[in-house]
Amino acid sequence: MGPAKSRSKQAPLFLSPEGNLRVSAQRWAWQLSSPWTITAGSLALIVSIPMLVILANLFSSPGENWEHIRQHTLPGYLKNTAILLTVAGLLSLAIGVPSAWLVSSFNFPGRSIFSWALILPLALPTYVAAYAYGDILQSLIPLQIWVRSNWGVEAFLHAEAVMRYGIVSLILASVLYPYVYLASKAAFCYQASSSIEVSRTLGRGMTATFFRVALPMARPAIVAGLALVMMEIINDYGAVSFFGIPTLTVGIFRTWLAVGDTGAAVRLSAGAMLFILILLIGERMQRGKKGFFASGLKTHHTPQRKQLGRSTGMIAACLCLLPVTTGFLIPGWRLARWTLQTYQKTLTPKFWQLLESTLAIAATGTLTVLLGAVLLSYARRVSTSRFLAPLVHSATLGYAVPGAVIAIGILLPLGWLDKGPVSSLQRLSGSEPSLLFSGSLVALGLAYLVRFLAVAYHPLKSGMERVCTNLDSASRLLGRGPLGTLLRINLPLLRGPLLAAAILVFVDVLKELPLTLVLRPFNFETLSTKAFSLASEGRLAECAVPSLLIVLAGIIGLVPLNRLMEGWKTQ
Amino acid sequence: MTMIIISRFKPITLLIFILCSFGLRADAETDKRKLETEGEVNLYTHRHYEADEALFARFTEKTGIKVNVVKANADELIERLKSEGEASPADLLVTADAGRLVRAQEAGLLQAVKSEKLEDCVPAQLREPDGYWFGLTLRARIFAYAKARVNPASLSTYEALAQPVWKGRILARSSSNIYNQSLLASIIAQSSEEQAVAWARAVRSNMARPPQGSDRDQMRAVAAGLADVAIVNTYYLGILATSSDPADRKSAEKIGVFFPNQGGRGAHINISGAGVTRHAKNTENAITLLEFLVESEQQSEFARANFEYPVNPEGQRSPLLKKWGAFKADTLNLSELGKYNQAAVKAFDLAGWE
Amino acid sequence: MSSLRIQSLTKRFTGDPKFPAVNGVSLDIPEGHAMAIVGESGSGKTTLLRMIAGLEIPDGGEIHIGSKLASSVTHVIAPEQRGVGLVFQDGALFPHLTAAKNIGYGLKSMRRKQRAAKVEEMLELVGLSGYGGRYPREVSGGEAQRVALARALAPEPGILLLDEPFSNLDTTLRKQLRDDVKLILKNTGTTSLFVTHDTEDALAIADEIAVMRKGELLQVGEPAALYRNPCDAYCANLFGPANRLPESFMRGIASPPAPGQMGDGWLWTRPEELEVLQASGADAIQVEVTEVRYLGERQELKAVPSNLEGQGATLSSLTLYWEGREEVRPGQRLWIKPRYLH
Repeated sequence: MGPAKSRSKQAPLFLSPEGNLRVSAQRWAWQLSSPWTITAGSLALIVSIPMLVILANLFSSPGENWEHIRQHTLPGYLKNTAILLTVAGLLSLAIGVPSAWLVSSFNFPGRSIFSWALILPLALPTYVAAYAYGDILQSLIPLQIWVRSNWGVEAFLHAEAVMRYGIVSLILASVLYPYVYLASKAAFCYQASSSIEVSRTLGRGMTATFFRVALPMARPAIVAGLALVMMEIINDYGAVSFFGIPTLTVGIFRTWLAVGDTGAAVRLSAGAMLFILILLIGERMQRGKKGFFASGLKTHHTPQRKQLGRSTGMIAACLCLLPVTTGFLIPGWRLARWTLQTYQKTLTPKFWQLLESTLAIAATGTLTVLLGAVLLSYARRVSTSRFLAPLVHSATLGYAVPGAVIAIGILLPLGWLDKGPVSSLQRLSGSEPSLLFSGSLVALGLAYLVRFLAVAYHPLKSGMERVCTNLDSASRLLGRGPLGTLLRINLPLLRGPLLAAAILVFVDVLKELPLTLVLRPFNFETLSTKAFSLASEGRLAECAVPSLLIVLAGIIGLVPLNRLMEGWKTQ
Repeated sequence: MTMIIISRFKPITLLIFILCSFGLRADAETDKRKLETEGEVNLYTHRHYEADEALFARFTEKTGIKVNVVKANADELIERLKSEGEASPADLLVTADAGRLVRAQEAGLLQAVKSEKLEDCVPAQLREPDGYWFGLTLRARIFAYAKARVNPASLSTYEALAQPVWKGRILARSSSNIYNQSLLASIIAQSSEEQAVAWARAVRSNMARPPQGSDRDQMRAVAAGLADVAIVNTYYLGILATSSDPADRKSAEKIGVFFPNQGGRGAHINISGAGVTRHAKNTENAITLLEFLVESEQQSEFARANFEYPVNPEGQRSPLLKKWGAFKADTLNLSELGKYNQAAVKAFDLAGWE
Repeated sequence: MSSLRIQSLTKRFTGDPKFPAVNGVSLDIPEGHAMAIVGESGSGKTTLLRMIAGLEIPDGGEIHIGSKLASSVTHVIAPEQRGVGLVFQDGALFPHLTAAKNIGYGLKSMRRKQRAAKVEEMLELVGLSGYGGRYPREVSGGEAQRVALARALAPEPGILLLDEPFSNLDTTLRKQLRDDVKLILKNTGTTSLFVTHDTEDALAIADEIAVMRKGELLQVGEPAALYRNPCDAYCANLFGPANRLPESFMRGIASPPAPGQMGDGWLWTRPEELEVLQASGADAIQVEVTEVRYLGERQELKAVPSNLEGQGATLSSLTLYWEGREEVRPGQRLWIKPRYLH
């Protein structure tokens, strides 16, 4: 009670005749000074710094390398990125949406298993999938030789050049489609369920209902899932570099590492960010002003699933089995076989320590990212300021920026802090200059925040949009402040999206490679860095154990997500 | 008044908590380290071989100096060194390529050290004249050919792979790989950029498939019959031959080794090496470690575990390397690889070698 | 309980700056009174309510709750500090909390025992004893609204705001709940402001009614005054059929015009204020029946005056009630004259 009273006493009443301007200026200041706006704004700003550092480099004059890149390699980078985005994007739609529709609207053999098995590929990092598929494709060499001997070298080489895109797109789509699957399944089950039933009572068959009601209603969710897939594609380095497709991200690494031109690499990164920006704006525009609100009371609605006949049921089961096979079973089987060959060599006590520290860092990272996302999404809900939205948007762009670039963007300002203010302080206190931020876990935590904020922010925000604002108002009127309302109303109601966000971030941190590689402190090793060093030694068989563990940990993380979704239905 | 501020800015406590959650862990981490600073040396290393860890353990056992390691790509480590400046904790930068050491030296990140032992053990060609960096191990980029289909007599030089005879018979990995870049840099150093572009273009058009996968994958494809010759590093063949995967070992049996350009400048070699950083806090320890690593005993160990050639002529080669026989190495000063690296990357771009 | 005083409250939304959603509204509700604001959707009544609650920030004007300044141009008190209760159209019960926890939500300063007792008391007040353990999804719409009412009343707010609380309910339930709410409000002596588009609800519950249209208050008064003396066509038609007749014709029978009423020689009268005759009489005028609707105890007629000289052109169709037993047919001629009510 204290603050309000004292504030009302302190606030002077400016009722001067020329008041309008002054009043509006005051109102503006009031909006900006709202604690949620300030806090969320500063967090968004901190998280945006790496991106700002990169963008600031855009204004430095381009070096001679840039001219070379622009003329000779940039068109290829753009073309390859666009091809992969289109093909793999369409493929993941083609896999994710129908499987979600089957699982949420029909009963067929194995439905409840597929319902969660379809998420499994999410546990597989693209680079691990690429290693596994790269090895499996070796066994197709006899086929390639046959093609070459029958159709000639030229035809074979042309086919190979095209095939590469197909293979990489298939691998990417096979492990990334669960983003689309999860989003559309949630939409079919909860958001659109009443409308789907209405359509069916109006005499529309399942097919017509799908195209005329379910698909249009789930479109925002599907596109949001697709946007995530596309960001991952733009960001992927492991798979595309393994198969020799130079995309923008490969170009960034090549320019930064091989050419050694940070400026030009940053320009390319800005290009990648532009791609993402277009994606995000497109996603926003398609959502339009359509509100997909459901009242807080109606979220627990169970859609009735249609029983499929024997043969159609088998077809449905096969359709669901296909993506599970390509996205999980095949690479998983390859890893498992390698593991059997090497586990005795690799499973030492040291290895369990590695597992423990990996889980600890992933858990801490998840907590940090989650807190940040809750703060930002809730501030967007309560703040009236117009300045917050663009700030938050820029803060969530980090998901689109390749990890290595974020690393540059973090190293530069932290290094500046360490060299400037911190070392001056240290000199004043008479101690030798040492690093406070660089190479510490703080830097790594910040990096995860930058990189994965969007992963947690988007489900939380759309979750919050589904919570009726009247509930917030009711809580406020019953005497709880915004923080109390967040803790007592929004968070409990957002258990689902919170858990979903936590799992997505957890799995992502587990898989994360380039940031951890560059920013980690001394003697710090995670499963992914271990897998990477083994793979770059060419010891793919040994690399299978840590890779498989990343996958297993990812699966463990996926379990609560699915149970939760089942729980919603039965409640 | 403070009460007002605190309760008005409740959400800020949330923000502070977010930022602190990692700080707490970080503090615990650094405390742990400080307890053990009796004697230590901090490495930034690109080498991620398990064999190295065993060597470091032996070093600690012998000298009592603890070895702390950050492993990452050399270029990222160089960026990290740059941003950390004089406060950097790193004492030694270890890379798997001479070009990167040259780059670090040019960026002013290394310092010259004098050590008779290092100068005795490492041949002059494999170290920086002023002592900015020293080679630790040696590897050659060679031809791995299919024993069943290729007569070694038909193989000669890197340049010869550009001939149309090899149409659809060659394999090599992507040009993003540092070993390919260094190979092309050595060709530029021998001839000119134009000729290097022409060579890369011709070899690219002779390839049996677009560049993809690792050196190991090239060899497996050769063994499976997709192509006849692959350009690979020596130690990858060693790894393949001793792999845990039986399929790998079978592939390795079908592969022969050919050291190119033996009649001319010699086979292209590269080193992995190390330099003491400019702002090293444990310079003496760093030099001690370097000296330890170039001793013949450790050199033999390097060679045995990772199938690399020792830089110290007294180091023992592993049995497999002995089987491949002695070869003539290119005498080009390795600093040149760093000098022409950028040009090599651009040449690959122009040649269309992805 | 507090009084509520609103002074020239204004709110513009960015989409339409020319037409404010709420335009200079002033209103006074004395302590313990029940006020209803009636208006069609888009009239700004909900915006007004939300501004009083603190959920919207006004662009101009002041809100006083009791002696406290809740909102002015330069400072705004947060909703949680206003002491205002609000019952939402959809109840807005917290779905993850039981009815008891919903009701206890606003009692944060109470000890556990005290709170439990208060919750029990509130449940009893709204007639839901024993429902405390149920979740919102386990109660009916009417019960949900009762819980919502109990929840809003539990912290004993200075003012209770109700936003169309009955509109989601069916007719029988609605009437019963309406009567109960009125009783509860009277018994607890709560100052309340009630927003609705349904005049029947307003007439049943409110001590005073305010009619709102396009962001402005048209008329404020007791239900009877609004019914008898509407200020214009809009207010008149809002509460049922109304006839516009020359003042000269009606002189002496209808209650005297309120200040600011038409004063242009016309008056609004309700059908029951006109006597319908089968034969001509003193002061009667002739009308021709155009439509007949059977309403049970009486018949509703639409009729056009046939010879109201000089004024017929501006007279529109009239609504009349016929209570006689004789059957009336369209085309039939009848006479009307003012009924002497007072």
